[in-house]
Amino acid sequence: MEPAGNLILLVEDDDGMRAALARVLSVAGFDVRHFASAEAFQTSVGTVPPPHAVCLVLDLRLPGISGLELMHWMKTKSFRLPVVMVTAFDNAAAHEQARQAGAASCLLKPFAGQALLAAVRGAIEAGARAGAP
Amino acid sequence: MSIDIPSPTRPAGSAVAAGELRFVLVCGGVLVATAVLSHVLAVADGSRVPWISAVVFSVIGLQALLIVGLLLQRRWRREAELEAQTYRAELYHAMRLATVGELTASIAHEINQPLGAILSNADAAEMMLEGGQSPGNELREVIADIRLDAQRASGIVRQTRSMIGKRPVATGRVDLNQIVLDVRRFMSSALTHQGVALDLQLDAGPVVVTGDTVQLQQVVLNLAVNAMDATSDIAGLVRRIDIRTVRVTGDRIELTVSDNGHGIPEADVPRLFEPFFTTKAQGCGLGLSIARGIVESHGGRIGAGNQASGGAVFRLVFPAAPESMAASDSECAPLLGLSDGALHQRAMPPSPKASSTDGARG
Repeated sequence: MEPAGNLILLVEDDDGMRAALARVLSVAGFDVRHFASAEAFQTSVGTVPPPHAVCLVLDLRLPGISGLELMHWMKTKSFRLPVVMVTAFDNAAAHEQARQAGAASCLLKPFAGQALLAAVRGAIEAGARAGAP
Repeated sequence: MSIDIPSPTRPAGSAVAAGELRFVLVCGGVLVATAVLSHVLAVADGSRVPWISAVVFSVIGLQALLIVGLLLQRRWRREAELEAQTYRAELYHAMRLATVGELTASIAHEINQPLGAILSNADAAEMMLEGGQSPGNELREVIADIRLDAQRASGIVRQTRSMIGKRPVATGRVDLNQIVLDVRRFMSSALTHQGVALDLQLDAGPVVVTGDTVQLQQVVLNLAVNAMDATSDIAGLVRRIDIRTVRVTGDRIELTVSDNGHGIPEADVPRLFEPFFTTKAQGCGLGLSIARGIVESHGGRIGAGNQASGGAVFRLVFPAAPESMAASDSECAPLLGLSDGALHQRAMPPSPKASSTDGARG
């Protein structure tokens, strides 16, 4: 049912939110690697997407390196992975920035688990169509 | 850095009124005694009541009127003072609302985190049930997390309410370290959101002053929010706020709030605490004037200046609360009812290092 890869990377600083998102994704059948900060992501993952990684769920606002900054960093490193941005700020400018930076979609918290799954599947399909590795 | 701390101004109206009244009462007493004596002497003499008695009795009448007038004036003055106090409390409250209002976006963000987690957890639970297996323990974990997040959301509401609620002034022993920690807790979301680092350097012992917790929180919050704004347009540097408490001498406690913004133009320094003086586009210019009012009503003083390195620094000096009142730390319990870290007792999924996946359960 899912494409060849099945691994979702998740960067979210809020403990409760991270636990909940990881749970929804894993109940839906994905493998999940989660990180509390962009720095932890960079250190652990490095500059090449792990095999089987299909999508990055990224919080826009993070302490230290922000979600947008991480996306720019990924661009400079040619780290290609569809991104679903999540944010608790109802800020049109932030959403626009997320899209411009190349996020497949941007979800406003609080969102339902189903909305996350739909966004992630959409991003994966779009990524596959665009010929992402 | 040199910080000019203006001396507090203190009204002395009631003392003057008491002096006037005493003077009138003494003069009146002497006159009454004279008149009564001359009248009694004249009556005992059997002669006619002298004209001077009539004059003196008229004077006594006037004196009595004057006394009544002064008493009334004193009462009106007291009523006016009470009214002014009420207006002042209203003004402080309005200003507190405005300061907290500046953090609304962050508070909404902070409350949306647990709400989002609850929604996702509820969906996950539903998917587990629909999966047909009996998820037992896993479901229990989800429920426990939902409960934690609901408590977290209500904690934020409680915290916000305690910051903006109307409360009568309650004077007691207040640990300034605790005030600073409360303010940090309250601002943590805004600080993260705006990318501002808040460094605390708190005196090792409790630094206890006599005063009102909410008012003192208001002052520190106001200064910290100002500092956050002041650093909003620095380029290429980490935005920083430093709050420091230190017991300077046995009976003097100092609290400083500094930032690494552009500082205060020297010309503005003397007028900074004047009402309606503002450098903010949307400021009303009352924050610092109210902060000074609060600090001075606590017997303290506040001053502002620039650090050698450039940013602004606000220095508050308070008299320490007398030690005699059996200084027990429990009296200085956090007002917000939440200590740092109290909420992070969640069973986290395995960390990326411990195990690279959360395990497929579909």
